[in-house]
Amino acid sequence: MPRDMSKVAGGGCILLFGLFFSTVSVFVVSVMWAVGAPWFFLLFTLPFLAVGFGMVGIGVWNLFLYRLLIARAFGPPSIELSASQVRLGDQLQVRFQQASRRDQEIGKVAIQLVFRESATYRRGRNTRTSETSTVIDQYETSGQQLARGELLTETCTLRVPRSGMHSFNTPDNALSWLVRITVQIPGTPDLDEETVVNVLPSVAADGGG
Amino acid sequence: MATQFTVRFDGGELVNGVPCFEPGQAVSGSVVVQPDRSMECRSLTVRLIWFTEGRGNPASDQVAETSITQGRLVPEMVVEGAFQFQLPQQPWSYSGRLVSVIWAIEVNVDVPMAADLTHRERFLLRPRAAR
Repeated sequence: MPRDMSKVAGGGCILLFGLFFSTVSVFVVSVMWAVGAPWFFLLFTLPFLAVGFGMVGIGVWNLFLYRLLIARAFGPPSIELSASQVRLGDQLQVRFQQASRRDQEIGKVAIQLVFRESATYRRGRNTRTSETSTVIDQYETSGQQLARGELLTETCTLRVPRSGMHSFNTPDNALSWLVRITVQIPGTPDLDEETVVNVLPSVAADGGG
Repeated sequence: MATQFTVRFDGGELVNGVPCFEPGQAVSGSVVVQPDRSMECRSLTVRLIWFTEGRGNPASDQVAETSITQGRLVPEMVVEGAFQFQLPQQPWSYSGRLVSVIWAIEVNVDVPMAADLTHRERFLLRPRAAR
């Protein structure tokens, strides 16, 4: 599942569960209040209310607020790669463009080549996914001033190491290569975009393309 | 004493004591099985397999298989057989924090009405240029 979709799905699940949890907690508190339950019973329910509202808050942030804040600062991103699949040892040209929607100063822009291990496993009745990411190569620029309508454009070359592992995917285990772009925007959550690169089980000749 | 399995590879460059083969190369060798008791054997097979290890639910694939023998195995009898398989181009061997990809020769004794006796001998599949 693309990372953006997985964020939406995760945010949606948290929001739905939070709403359910909050509704039940509020109902229990209301009933206790109505029957004149002792104050320590009401105190006991407070953590449940806090957890429910917290989950609603996280869901709303992931689904709406984060996107809204980013959309106020930038238009949709464009990430162009010189190839959608490369060999180990190959170079990869990356071109990132995004239109600024306001006059603003941005912080560091980082373009990283990331190798990610993902493992999905069952624990009890739950299915969980663990991930570990390693930055293999990166390009960074310092802060800059952007005018409204100006294009933020960054290009760089990243290299897939010859001694790496090719992309590998089974339903519950994945070894993935990604280009990750982060832009620090003062006063706004960092912009964070990723795109998958397919690394073939093949090694480029010395000084590969 | 348990049933003894011995797997020997022909060739393969040793990397940290483990034989390493190139993708697409032929892997060959021999297996020796010494039973610890009399048993009926529906089939004694040698398989070329890969599987994942680590935190995720395991995945595996049997790439090729060859049958060595079948019939009654007795402790005094040493069963020997040879195998030769063509290795595929991928997946390469990999050892990571959450996911590892392991290649092995698996020797399997199919015993009726009992658990199979299985032995796995690991090797590496990785091109020299990527080591």
